[in-house]
Amino acid sequence: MQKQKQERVLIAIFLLLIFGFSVTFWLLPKSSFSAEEKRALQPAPEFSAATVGDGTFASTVESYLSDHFPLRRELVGLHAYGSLICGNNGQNGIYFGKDGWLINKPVSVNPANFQQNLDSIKDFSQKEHLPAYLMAVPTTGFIMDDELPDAHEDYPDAQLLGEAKAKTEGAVQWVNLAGVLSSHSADAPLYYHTDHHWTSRGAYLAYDTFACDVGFHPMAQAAFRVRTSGGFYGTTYAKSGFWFTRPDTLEVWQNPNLTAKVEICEDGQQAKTSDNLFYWGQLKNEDQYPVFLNGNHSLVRLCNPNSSGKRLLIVKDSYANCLAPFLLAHYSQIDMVDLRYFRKTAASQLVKQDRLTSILFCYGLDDLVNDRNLSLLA
Amino acid sequence: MVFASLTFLFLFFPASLIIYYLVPKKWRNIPLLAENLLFYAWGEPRFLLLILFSTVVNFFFGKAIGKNAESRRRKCLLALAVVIDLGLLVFFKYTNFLVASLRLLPGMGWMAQTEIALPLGISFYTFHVISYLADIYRGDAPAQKSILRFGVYITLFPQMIAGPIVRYKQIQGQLEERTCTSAQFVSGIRLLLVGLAKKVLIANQMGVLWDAVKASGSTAGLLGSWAGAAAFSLQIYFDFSGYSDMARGLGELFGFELPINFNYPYIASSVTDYWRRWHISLSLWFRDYVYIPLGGSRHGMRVTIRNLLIVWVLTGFWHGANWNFLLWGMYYFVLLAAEKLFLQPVLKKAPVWVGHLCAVLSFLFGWMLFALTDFSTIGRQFQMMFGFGGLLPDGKLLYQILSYLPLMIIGAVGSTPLVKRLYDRTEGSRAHCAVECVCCVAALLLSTAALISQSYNPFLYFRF
Repeated sequence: MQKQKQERVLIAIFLLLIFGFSVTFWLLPKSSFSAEEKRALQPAPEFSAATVGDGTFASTVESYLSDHFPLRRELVGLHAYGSLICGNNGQNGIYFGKDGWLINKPVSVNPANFQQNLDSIKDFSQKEHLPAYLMAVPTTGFIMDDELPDAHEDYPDAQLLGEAKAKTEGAVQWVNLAGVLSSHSADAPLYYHTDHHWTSRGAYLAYDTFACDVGFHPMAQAAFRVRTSGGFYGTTYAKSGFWFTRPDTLEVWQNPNLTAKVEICEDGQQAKTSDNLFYWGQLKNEDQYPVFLNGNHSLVRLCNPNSSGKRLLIVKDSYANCLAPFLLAHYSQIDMVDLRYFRKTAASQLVKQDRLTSILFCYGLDDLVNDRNLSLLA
Repeated sequence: MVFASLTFLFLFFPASLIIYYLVPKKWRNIPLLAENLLFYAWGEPRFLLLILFSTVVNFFFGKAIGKNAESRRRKCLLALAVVIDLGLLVFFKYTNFLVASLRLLPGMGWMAQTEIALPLGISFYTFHVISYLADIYRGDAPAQKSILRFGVYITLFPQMIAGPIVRYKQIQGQLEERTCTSAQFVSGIRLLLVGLAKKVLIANQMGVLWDAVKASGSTAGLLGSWAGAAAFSLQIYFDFSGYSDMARGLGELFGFELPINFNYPYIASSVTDYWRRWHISLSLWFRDYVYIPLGGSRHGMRVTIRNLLIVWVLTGFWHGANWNFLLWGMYYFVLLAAEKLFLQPVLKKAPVWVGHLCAVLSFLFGWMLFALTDFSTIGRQFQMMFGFGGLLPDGKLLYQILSYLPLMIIGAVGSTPLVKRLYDRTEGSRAHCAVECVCCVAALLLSTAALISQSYNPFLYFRF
């Protein structure tokens, strides 16, 4: 009797789980877009002779189920923490570091692509005959190596940075960030715990270094007005599945004496203008980083009417979004080009048209090595 | 369709179960056949016609063999049917390989390489069909009168794609009438979830490590190459035995009793013992339908060894159309023949651990012949395993081995009967029910989480 009762309990639990997930899946409303993963979710599969015949119907059903599965987020977290407990740190490409640090695993290097990117930078700078600078931001794991888990893969940053410097020598001046960032890494956070980007302090150190290299006087740290925002969860958090991690506090360093005009252009669209470098509305989202210049766009023009003379071209990825507001005090115009989206015009034409006088390449090391759009630079 | 997928677990399986049990007992073969065909056609519907053809043709051959009393005609019918079945198997499975091998011969380069796709489960259902025809021919079972029941036997979804190979005479009664008690249902749940966890939580992870070792090429070193061999051994055991467990579990949930396929092969005390524990239903099939008809071991050592050789050439090629599988078969032929000829008495006298060690080493090396398809890679792997190729792998692989080490230990322990013995000890106690329920929930949730995580892929540079 006892045995039969036990059997019934197990059967009930099993059926409850299988049918529970199944029925909930059917009942749950399906959204077409995941704000968390920042991607379009699989739409309902289309049933037709063609899709059934070539097997795409079956694979679409599996992705549809997976994308809209009840408790998807919780299950991803369960898997992440489960793997971590089994000693497998970094299942989703993110290390569960010490003190709440979530750090990208080392860059996997595609040497041919890296070489091509460096060649593109070199060729473009030589063709334009303008003073050019290359700034590659080391990865969090390399600078914050004390915060990595004890067993981790080696970070190849030192070697890659050395290679980037050596292979662009003569055409481009190298801005050495690794030394500065490493020596200040213990003072205050230069990178975010839950995001791959640098903090405003990290970007400030880069600005300071760049100013010395170019030859202008950087503003003192104390001159900035700092605005903070809590509850920031960035990219490494979103990828990791470690949902119990504490959020970061995002800092925005404002220059109180700067008047700026911002013009954001997407390819083939009307430009949008603003007179604020910071898009405060973005602080309402979980990922607050787009507060800096509203995230990535094809072309962003920054103008400083109170400055005279110099006009800078920044060829960049997202790291420059936090850096450019510091630089604007010293330039009358900065054109920021993101080659991942800047497709309609040639950068050289922009240089001519806007009479730009120097070039800064600002990339996170990961993109400098692996981005496939730098070859479009012309 | 594969068992370890969300589509199966949360769409096909619950729907099939409900429909099956809603239909009155005597009609249940009808929804079951429909479910089998849907399961088979899912993802690759083009081979549905082939399996329907095989089913119909063999049904009528079976009937004809059963009706005919004259022994020569029976023999001819059997031979003809087997030639058709094996012909289809050879055509779909071995043509590409044969053509590729012929093209390497001098003067044969003009042949065009064929690219014939392999129908799902053909190696398994061909063996099912042959066992059916042979059992009828021998009078072990009567021919099936209902094409519906025969269709259910050939296409039965729990076992059609990867076994266990159910011999017709074992299952014929269940095709007509079967019951499912709550004890059977519970046992089915247990097997299904254990199998699922084995496949998703251990085999898939070990596969990642084995891929990393393979990708590291000649830099794996002594440690890396042994870790790779261990990872692949665990992967294939947990993958295949997990699949068999799921098959048996699903069988029980639908009222069938399918034969056991794995009996802790990695604790075998000799190579002979290993092959009594690994893929049991296949070994039995070869024994009953090849080895014994050839005379087995009753006609002196020479014939025995010849029969062993034939069985292992076939076993090798059955596992895959490539030379390395033949090499793998020959490897086991040599080891088994050696044990038959002189090693067994030696092993019996030696301490127990010697036999276990020999068995473990034999499958670790054996799996490398199985897993690596070209001979130069096999040579390189063996060189490294014998220490000619450095000691430690490079930093990245070393790190990966360390990350998977705890899971490897769990896998190694899990491939012994230890966990099952501990579990059985709680039987009857009050804690048993609680332990069982917790394990059931954990296995299902963790496996589902792993399946979901495969698709979790945030696109972080999305810009809007």
